[in-house]
Amino acid sequence: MRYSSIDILRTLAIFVMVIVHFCENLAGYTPPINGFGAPLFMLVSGISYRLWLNGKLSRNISETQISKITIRRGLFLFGLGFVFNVFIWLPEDAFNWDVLTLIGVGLITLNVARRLPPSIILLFCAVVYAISPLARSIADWPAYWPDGYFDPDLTLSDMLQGFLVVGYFPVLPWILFPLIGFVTGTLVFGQSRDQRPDAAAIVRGIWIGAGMMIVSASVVSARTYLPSLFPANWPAIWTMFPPSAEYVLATSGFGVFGFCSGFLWLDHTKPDQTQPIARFQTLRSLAATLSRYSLSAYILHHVVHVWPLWVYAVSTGQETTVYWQQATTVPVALVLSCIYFLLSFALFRWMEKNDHPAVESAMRWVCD
Amino acid sequence: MSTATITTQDDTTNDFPPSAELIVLGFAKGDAKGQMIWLDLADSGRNKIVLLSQTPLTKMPELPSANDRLQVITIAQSPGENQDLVQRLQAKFESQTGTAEQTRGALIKSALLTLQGAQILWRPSQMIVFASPERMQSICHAIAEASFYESELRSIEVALDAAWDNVQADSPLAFEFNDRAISRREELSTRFQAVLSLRTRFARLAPQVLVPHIYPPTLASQIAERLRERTRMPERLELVEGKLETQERIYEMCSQRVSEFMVAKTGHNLEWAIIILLLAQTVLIVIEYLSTVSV
Repeated sequence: MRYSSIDILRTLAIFVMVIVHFCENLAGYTPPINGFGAPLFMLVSGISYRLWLNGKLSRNISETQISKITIRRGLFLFGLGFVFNVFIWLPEDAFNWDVLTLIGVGLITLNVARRLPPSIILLFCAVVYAISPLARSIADWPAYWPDGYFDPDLTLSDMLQGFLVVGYFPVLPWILFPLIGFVTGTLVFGQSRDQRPDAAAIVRGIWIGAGMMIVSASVVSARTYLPSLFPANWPAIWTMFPPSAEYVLATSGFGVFGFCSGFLWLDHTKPDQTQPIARFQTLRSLAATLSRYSLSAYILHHVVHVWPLWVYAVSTGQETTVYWQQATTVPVALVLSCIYFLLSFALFRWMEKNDHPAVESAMRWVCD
Repeated sequence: MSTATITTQDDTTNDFPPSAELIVLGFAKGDAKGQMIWLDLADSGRNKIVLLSQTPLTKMPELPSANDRLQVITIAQSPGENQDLVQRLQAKFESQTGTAEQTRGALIKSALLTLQGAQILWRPSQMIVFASPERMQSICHAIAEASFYESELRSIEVALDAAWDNVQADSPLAFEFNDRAISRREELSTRFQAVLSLRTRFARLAPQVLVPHIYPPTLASQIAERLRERTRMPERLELVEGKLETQERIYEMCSQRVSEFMVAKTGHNLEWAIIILLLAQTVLIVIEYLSTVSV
């Protein structure tokens, strides 16, 4: 069963990423919505894993089989992440630890987490949240980001540091997002497909998500308006790279809040209803298509806006990355991102209609 | 010579003799507040038989719709009277299909007991007593009591037989309980409680059924004994005990597995908490180590 709330959240994540990446990579401008796409994308992957797991459990697929599929999918995404890095960001950035490698590791972690009670997973999340700033400090995070982007040496220790703590999306603290998504999914959908989504858990999720955002906003406000109360050497207030404590709290709260309120509004059925109230059918249909091809969309939007930069530079005999962040202006980048969005939707709708394979179907074919 | 006609499938005008009375009884437990206690049973779950109504009767009544109702039709007569009516009624009792809720699980459709000039035509939930007026009350008490025990035994049998599918589905959990079965914990607990409740009812019923014959015998005691024999209650008790033991044993083992699993799970949570803290420490140590080397 497809839930529109999940589809819409995933579409929103893709939309934010497309806008941000087009503006950043083509025009060197970081829009204010930056930082909301990737956490949402990862959090939704955790929720979706719960639903997928419930489906498998209801079909009496064995634990071993579920583990095998999950790990294979995790490794597929991990490997795909490297292929993506090599082909999109060129071989020297093979180990920049992008979203795909993190989601792959997240899936493998979820294979362990699925056997644990939500309280233990939350404890794990709390520990990760607490030690992440400490780990960044120990690893000397700024040394790896001299010019505003991750620039490691090609050594084993830097590679591992990148994976654990200093890359673009290292395990600490990004692993939190799929895990929080999984716990949210477990609390809402239960541990079997036959269970009705728990209305009380959904409302609780809305309050908790809102609470997390409010706490984060309060801390950011306090640190902004009352800086004298905080030591000068404290970590940054609101940054995605490195993910500050306030940022992680607010974005995970936004994900939980967005999912729970969206579910309550769009997907929740009362006991006397068989179908949710039909609202925003066009948006639902659009989101369903984009959500179904979200992995392909993530890869494709990089291909269409990054490759031309490399190809044009090489074809004109220049250094490959010369046009990166300075190919065009912000308005043009925005227009291009909107054009891409429309064309990609048309492409995915056509693929959906004609049942054409995509990266998602390749993953299922290889792993399931 | 009969003075009455009975209902057949084509004939709905059945008249009983003028002396016929319909006594409708109900089973109640506790103090049966506000109800007239007709018979107080010594020890049973529902240990009161209460009088719901007592009216003159001219036509054959419908079987009571509720399981806890008992109809006693009394016809005062001299010995040997109304033979034709008795035979017709018995034929009618026998011809009726036993699909009704009241007769569910009954081994026999009807029984005719004849003792010392008294005749009792019995079927689950309904009985017709032909006896002299002075013996009527004691006979009615005896037959109602025996009927009550029979219905109690029958309801236990029906409940046990209905549970076999669930027992079979639950029996794998008597060997191994796992995460997937956690959602069935409440279900198992309810079923175990249901079996225990049946066991309690059985334990309270058995002494009433397995009573030794009373000496010197009375008409009432003999009628009760005869009905217990005709409905094979002692043998059925043995069978019920066997079924109860099986189901009880399976659910006992299930509850043991559930309890062990949940205790182990709680212990595991503590272990996991320790593992997570150790893991965090290890990760920090690894990061610290990696930041000091360059390989």
